[in-house]
Amino acid sequence: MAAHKPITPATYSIVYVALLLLTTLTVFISEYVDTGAYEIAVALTIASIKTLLVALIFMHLYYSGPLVWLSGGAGVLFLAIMMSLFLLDYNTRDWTPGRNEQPIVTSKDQGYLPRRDH
Amino acid sequence: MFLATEILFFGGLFTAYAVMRTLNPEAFSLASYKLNAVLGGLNTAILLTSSFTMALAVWAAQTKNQSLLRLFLGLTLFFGCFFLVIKAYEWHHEYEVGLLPGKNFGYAAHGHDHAHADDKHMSDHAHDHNQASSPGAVAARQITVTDRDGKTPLTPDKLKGLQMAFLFYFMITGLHATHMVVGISVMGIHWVWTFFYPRFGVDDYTPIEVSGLYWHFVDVVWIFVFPILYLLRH
Repeated sequence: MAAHKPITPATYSIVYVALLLLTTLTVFISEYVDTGAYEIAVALTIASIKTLLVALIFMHLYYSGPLVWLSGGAGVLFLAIMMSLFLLDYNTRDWTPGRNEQPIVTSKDQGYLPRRDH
Repeated sequence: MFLATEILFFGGLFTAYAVMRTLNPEAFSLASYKLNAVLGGLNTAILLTSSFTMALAVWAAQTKNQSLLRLFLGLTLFFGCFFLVIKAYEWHHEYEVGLLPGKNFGYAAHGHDHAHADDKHMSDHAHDHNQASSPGAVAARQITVTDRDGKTPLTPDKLKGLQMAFLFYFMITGLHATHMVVGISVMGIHWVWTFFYPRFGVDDYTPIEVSGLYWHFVDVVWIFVFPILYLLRH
């Protein structure tokens, strides 16, 4: 981590301005643009770009050796595994045969919380 | 390595949030609707600024300029504290309008006092000591949290979903703020040391660099917290 040359303030400034612009963009889209079902995808894509900028430049990942990349990558990989398995589980529970005889109540007049009355 | 464990620490909370959100999409988007995206965006900008000054502090340490290092550490501290002040203001507002999960969720803080006073006025003075637990005090209160139209009070079921959403909101922002306090403490120690040790940070910039990594990590967490909690409102 001590091997790389100092990054210049000019580089930091460009990244900083880019980060502020991306923040403005994501707030603007949320307030004024109807992205429908892509809302989460758009917001998380912008957040990921910002994270890459911070990690690569501010945290010097771009200038670091393989071991640092491996540590960071391991964290992200295990997070991805955890999230995908949890969401796979919860989103496919109703596919089990016999499970739909008493459907989960989702109509708006019955409130927001899914209920299983059995 | 430590930061990798931290990813999973916050990751667990984010995963639980994602699961609950897929189960109650409407309640969670209503919760986003009730948060102030302008204040959240302002806080994002402040935190990004603090990361920028932190990066410059590392640069100052690398180029062996201690007075600049002191300046940028001080600025980082200032923006970090500024972030917490705005966060505290938001939390206070949410408490006031009754969005703090718990027994009084859905009832405005002052509305509660008001109803309590009315009840006291009507009843016998001998029962004053029991006012807090009397059923009349509860019955007189009105749910003050409304749906998207700003008029209709929420039904108990919807209130339950919203309470779950706000429980996650307070847990995630609370854990993040705790990390901010740790970061500010570390930066504060570094900052003070630059006054007492003339060569601190410039002979060996590793302490500054490592603290900087932690600071940037907390910033990255907020980069995800902000859109997830504040911006997904449709």
